[in-house]
Amino acid sequence: MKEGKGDFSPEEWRRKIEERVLELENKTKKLEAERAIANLMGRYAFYCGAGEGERIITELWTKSEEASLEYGASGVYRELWKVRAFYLKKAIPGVMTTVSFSTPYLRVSQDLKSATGVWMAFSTETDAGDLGVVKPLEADTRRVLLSSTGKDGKRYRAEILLQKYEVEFRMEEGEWRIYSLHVSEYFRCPYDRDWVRYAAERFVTDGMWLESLFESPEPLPPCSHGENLPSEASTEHWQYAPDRLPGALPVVLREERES
Amino acid sequence: MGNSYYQAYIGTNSVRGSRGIYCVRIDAETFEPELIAAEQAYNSGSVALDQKGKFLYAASEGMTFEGYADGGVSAYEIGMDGTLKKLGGQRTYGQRTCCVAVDEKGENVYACNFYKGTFSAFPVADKGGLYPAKYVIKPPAETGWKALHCVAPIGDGYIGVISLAECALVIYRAKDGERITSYTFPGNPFPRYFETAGSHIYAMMQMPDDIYVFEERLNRDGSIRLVQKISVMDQTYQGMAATSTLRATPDGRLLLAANRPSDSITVFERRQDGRLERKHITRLPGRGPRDFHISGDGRIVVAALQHSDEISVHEIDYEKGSLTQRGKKLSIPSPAAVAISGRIKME
Repeated sequence: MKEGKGDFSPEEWRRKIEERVLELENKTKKLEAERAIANLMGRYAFYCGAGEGERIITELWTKSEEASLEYGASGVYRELWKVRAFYLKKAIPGVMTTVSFSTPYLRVSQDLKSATGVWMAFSTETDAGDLGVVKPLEADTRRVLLSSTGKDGKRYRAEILLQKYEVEFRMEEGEWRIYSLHVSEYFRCPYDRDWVRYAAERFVTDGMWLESLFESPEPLPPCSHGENLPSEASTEHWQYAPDRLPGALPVVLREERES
Repeated sequence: MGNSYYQAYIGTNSVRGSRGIYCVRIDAETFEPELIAAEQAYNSGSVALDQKGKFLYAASEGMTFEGYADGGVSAYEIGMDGTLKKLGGQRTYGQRTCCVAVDEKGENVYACNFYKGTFSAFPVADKGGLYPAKYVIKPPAETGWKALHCVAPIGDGYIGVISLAECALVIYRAKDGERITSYTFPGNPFPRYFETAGSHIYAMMQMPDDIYVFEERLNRDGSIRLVQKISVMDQTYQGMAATSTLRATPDGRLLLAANRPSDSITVFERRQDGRLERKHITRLPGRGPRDFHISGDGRIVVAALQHSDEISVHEIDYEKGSLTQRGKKLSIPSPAAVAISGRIKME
């Protein structure tokens, strides 16, 4: 004869309660992880807007030398000094980078030690005529990267971008950290132009642009032999062109569809 | 300007104000170089002229080409005044395309990639443009670091590549890319470049600075046979090795090899059996010879001094086996590649 509520014995009921509590605990931990990761990327966005690249590295990125960063067709930059070069820039008046993240798609591992997140980002980039860390000479062909001309004739960039952030996180000493980051650009164009017209035009300077992203005023380590080159070829790359089919589904969503 | 000249094309890295590929005319009497034009191009780390000097092919040594994560090779028509007109380009299915070569008949262009370790063959159209790759050869799946450094035709019907992935010289059949043979360099050196002269192949390591001399027996039994190993620098040299380019004079008498840390070109004499004898090491008037090229008549050498942003012109002394600087140097930002014509008479 059963003495507990409904058709369960007290033992069965206790077990059910314990299972339910455990399930809720796991859900809570997962939600806490998701909240922490969303907050981490929120800080990332605000640090970008404030030119606080150093804080992005020290507060948000892994301490592991296996860190990796890939931007568009840049190839994979592995090792912390290569990742640091991407964020540590000389402060130059007129330079501003903003990133506005969408609601993420997050997947946290069962053991709560790793996670994957995907964001869309609507971004802006502005400068007042300087590229990377070096002020370009008049003859510098990289000046074609500068897309707008002010009333005083000075050239600068005021560009809008739509990006995809694919991020792998690891739990390190009780905190979530960025372990790898792959940023893709759906498009980039000057604010007063459209991305269809600008698509082919930007091909000329794409490579120079990518290389300037990994320039830094910090001295390069001896192992670099004077160059910050990618460690590996690009994993994948898609950007808008009028003759190209869409093909920018994040890896994590593709994996789910295939499984 | 005298009544004949040489036409040189200097590929550059897109840094320090570079404007792309520089067209330079060198007076055949005074050896004075004169800049006549610059064609916008991105990281032209390797350039090659067809035998008739009508078309130029340039590698796009970057991570992106026309919006793809790819390297590329671009074709240019050479005008009567020596300037370039771009005919278009093709993807190379790798990244950082580091070497481009044209076969003797000008029917195919070959390009290889540092990243992904692929090389591709592009048929040349009647008017010098390139069709899409007829094949793309990948490195063996089991190799870890997939990278190539150099591609060039060998004789009539073969293609060689310097593979960093396999630390080897690998030879393929040109018509279909089928692998024929390979030689793995012992001691895990960093291989860089190879050149052919007569029935011999000369493969140079970047570090250490060794040249491996092979007898080529591809049409006989599909093999190559090592006959000599010799260093670029002599025994008195205590500095670093980071060689760049190796080229034979058109008559095959001399072989020239550049070493960047010593800012020098070593001249070797080729014996009848193909073996090399070091004759002279010429110190160049600038820093970092990333490339050099020998004129079609074998008379002059143009050196790309990448780290001092200039090119220099040298006359070859075949009797002494040495180089003598001629004319003034010409400033060009980050020169990385040279292709030079034969002697051209003024119209």
